Amino acid sequence: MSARPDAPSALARLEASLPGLPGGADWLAWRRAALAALASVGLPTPRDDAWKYTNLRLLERRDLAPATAQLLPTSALEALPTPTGPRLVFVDGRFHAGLSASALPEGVTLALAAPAIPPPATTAAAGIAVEDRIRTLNALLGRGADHLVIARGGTPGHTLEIVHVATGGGAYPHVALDLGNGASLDLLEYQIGPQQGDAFVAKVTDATLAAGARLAHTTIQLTGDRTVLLDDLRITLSADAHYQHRLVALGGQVTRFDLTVTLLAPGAEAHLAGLLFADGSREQHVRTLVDHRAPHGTSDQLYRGVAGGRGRGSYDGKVVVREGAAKTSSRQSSRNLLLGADAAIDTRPQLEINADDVKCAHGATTGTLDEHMLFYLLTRGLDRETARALLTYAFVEDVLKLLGDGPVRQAVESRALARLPAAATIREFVA
Amino acid sequence: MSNIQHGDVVLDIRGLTVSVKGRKILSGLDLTVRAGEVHAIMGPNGAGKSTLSQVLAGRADYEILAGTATYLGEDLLALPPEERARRGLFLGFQYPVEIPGVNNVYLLKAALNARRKQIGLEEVDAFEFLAIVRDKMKLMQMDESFLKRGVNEGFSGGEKKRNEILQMTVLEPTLAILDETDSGLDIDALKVVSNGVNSLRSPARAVVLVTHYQRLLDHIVPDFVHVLAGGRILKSGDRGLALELERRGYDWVLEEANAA
Amino acid sequence: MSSTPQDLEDLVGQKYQHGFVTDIDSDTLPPGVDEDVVRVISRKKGEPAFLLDWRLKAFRHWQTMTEPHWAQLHYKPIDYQSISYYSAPKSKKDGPKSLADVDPKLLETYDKLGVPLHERARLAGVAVDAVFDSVSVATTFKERLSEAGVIFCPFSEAVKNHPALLEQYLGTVVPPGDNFYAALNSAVFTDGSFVYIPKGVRCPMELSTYFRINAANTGQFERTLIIADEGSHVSYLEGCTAPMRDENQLHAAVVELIALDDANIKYSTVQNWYPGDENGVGGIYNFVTKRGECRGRNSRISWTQVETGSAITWKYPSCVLSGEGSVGEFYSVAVANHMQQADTGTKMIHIGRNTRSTIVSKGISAGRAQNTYRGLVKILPSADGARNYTQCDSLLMGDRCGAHTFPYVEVRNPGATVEHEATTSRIGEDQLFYLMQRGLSQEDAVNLIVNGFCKSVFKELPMEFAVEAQNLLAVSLEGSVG
Repeated sequence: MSARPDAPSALARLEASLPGLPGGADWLAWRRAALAALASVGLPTPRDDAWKYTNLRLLERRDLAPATAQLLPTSALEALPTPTGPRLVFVDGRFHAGLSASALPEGVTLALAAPAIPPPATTAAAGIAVEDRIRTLNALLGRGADHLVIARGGTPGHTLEIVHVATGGGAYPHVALDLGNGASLDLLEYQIGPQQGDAFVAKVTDATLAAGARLAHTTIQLTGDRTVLLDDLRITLSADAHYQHRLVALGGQVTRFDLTVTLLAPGAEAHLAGLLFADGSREQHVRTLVDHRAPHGTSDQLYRGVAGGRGRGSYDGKVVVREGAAKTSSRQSSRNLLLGADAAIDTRPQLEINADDVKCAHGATTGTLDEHMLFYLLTRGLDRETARALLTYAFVEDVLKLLGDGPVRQAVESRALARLPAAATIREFVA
Repeated sequence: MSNIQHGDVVLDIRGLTVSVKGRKILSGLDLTVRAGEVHAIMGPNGAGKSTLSQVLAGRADYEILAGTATYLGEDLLALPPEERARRGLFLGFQYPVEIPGVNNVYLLKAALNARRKQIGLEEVDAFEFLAIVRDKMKLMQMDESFLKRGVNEGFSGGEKKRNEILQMTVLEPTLAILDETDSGLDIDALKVVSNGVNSLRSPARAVVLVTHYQRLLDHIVPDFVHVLAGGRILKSGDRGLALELERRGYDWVLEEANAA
Repeated sequence: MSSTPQDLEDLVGQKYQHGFVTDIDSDTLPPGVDEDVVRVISRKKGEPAFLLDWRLKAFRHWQTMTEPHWAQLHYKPIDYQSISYYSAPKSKKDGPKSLADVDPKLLETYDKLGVPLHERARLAGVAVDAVFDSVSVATTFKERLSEAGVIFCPFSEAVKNHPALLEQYLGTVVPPGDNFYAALNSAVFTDGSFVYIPKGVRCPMELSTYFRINAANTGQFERTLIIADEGSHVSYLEGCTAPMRDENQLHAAVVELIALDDANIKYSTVQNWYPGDENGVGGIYNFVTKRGECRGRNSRISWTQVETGSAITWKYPSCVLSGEGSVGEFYSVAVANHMQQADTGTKMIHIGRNTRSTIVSKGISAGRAQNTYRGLVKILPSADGARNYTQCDSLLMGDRCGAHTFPYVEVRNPGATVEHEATTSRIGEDQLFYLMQRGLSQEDAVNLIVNGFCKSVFKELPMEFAVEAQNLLAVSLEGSVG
């Protein structure tokens, strides 16, 4: 689907920017080979089942080359709620010491990607699997993974904040979180981007939770209207590890979160929730794969999608229960609200169950407001418009309340509220 | 509100015939309710009791095939549900819906102000409102924490019913229709709920109790008892009829009606 | 205490009851398919030119297509050139006129299957159009139906007697190039059933066809077309059993339903083809395309299926809801035991305003079987006020089987409401224990629970089918508790 048959594809155009990237000749050779391999299969398209609802065609006309100029995004940072703990800032995928806290809590260390490390031994010479293509793109244009290590038993009392800032052009952040036995971390992640102009982010997040570790991860996506953001998260959980992800996707042009959570050992838990807000002509997509590979695992998913205007949203969630993963308990809930005649939402809550002693359920609804609730409010004398506004707010609130009562929720709530129909009416009720 | 006198006709139903999804539920129902009166509508399961309540409150998925319902001289069936509510018609639901995210207090305040606006009273502010609600909550023996919760969210069956009656006592309706308000209540809760209803009895108001069991009527003594079966009122009487129904069941009423 | 898996393995030993081969000479084409084969089939059927052209177009299109592999199914590649595409029982020149003319061996076959054509058919008020290898050999109750103006006949007869109706409707719901199997069917279909219910007529009896697969290596390519004209009602029953075979046999039927204004079509299936043995040897490959279009206002199409047979099932009875206020329904019980693989579900395409659809799917997996529900609910922008409710439950019996649920929900209209619910669980040990403590055998307890699980589907079946379906389920699952 290239723009013009004679024009080089967006991937081919990247060739020129490879020599400017860090690393020696071995790295350059590796990047070239990886780019060639990726170009031969292309980026995922809706024909790939896992990308059925996300179309990246618009990237063909974009410049994906890694951004070089680091404009200091201080004003963008000021718009965020005051951090309650140390903050780490990554600008266009690179750690920015000047904007970041100098001291990290005890037990937490940041190990930045080092160009001295040799490139990966293997290059997927051909046939890079669909699920690895965004990762490959990140690897060949990025600087390697920045590791955040939370030591065994480490329990930082505060919330650690990571702000990813895109300034325009391409950004390829890769953050790897290593949580040792019993380690615990509250991680609040913001994604912000230029309010004007194009930006592209292909981000990779890895988290490895050792036995009994706990990661409470919140992602607030507030990028600009011309930002395409692809965030590929892979989380692996050891015995009794506990992962929680709260996603609020408010900004962007096309946003997609790919969450793969693998429950490797008994007793692991994954709790995923998200609010996808696709108004205007925004697209918000989330795809999850929760892979239960061991007994006594628990997972639940709670996603809410709101689409208005010409917005599009999708929830494509899959739960796999492997043979032997007995006593697995899994729930998926996807509820979606369409606010406009040109809005669209697709859902696909999938279950693949290969063990019999399990409890799995999923539910999905798409449509208008619940008419029983609407009727109840009307019988109490509320007018239709107010009743509808209230129920829309309540719908969104279902996820936002998971953010607790602090400044983060307030900040997010006021942003979300401002974009709901009858925002003024709601404010009156909520204030 | 104040211009309604004891004995004025509040609700007048004539020949009401209603179907749901092509199935006729009410057929030719007549009922007249006057200010100051408490009516009990009893009947076997599936008789159409809940349908009657829902139709009067304005639920959309019922088809009115024939008949009229006049409320305070107005064509009730022509009004949307919120207009009915603002004119003082209150439905206590058999199964109140949970609305997570919509706070109890916000709803109640909006409802009260919608009602007050309709009858030309000034809207109450937050302080006045909380004073009113706290007062009524005491009557209903409800916990303060209720104020912070979503509408019926996570409430037990009994709590939901109390909440319905609390709303009623705050809104002070002209006509309260209480659909199976007693079901699922233990004896203590039943007393509390009954107190709430009794506190509202006045010469200018009317109450319609829809119930399956006689026991509620020990606490809220009705002026009239009607048997609803097969979609219409088969028999009317006083309190004694309810006691007789408890003793003898409904079959004899049906037989009597068949014989007639 | 529940029993050990070992006991259950023993109980699974139940052999396929309908496995036998009737020895009748077949007039069979040699294996393989090309344009000449298509022509021969059309000539043998005495078809008009338009139908031959239609077949040839379909065949040419089929040659450009590849077999679909998106389903959760694993099987050896099918050699389409090793299949014989035509087989007819040898009989007197003009075929049997009545039951008395039918080969007694054939009637015996039906007896073994529990289909005493002349007795039960009459008792149950069912007209049976029995298909024995691709050619219809007996049709009953014709007169009563023709009095009502109902046309119910073998497809090949409709070709001769009602070509205008065929030309108007054939392929309008499932176009010849719709999918790989439908294209193949369109090219080489041999026979099937044709039903036309005239305006305002309520068909006086349940219509029924029993399909049989008999001769070795014979593909079956049935074609069914049911047209319900304005205001008419029809209930059609399809039931299948097949003899035991070692080679896998291909079955690729096409069923098209058309409901005009206010018409009502109920299509019920009990599918009990040979599933293969415990090790997955043999069994039918069932790749069926079934689709109905609610073309008229307030029309209704209801699919009910009980799928217990076949080694592989690939089947998605669907509804295209074009007419305003039309209704589509899909009720399904799919059982997969041993090495069976079932990938089944439905599509509900909402086009018209206020269209409604209901999907109830109950999947049961046992042994090493894989059971997949795959469904699509699509609400197009034109479908204001459309509603769908989907419930999709899976029951697992044993820890080596799989249950998969792939529902696609695509909503393009803000006034629509789509609800989907799914659960997966196993038979509760406490339920089993409770029933066994009350004196039920484990088998009876399992049957009771499974029947309860499937109840909401069984109640949609015509009465006599419902009983059959319950028995079938019991046989299919005997002892499969883990």
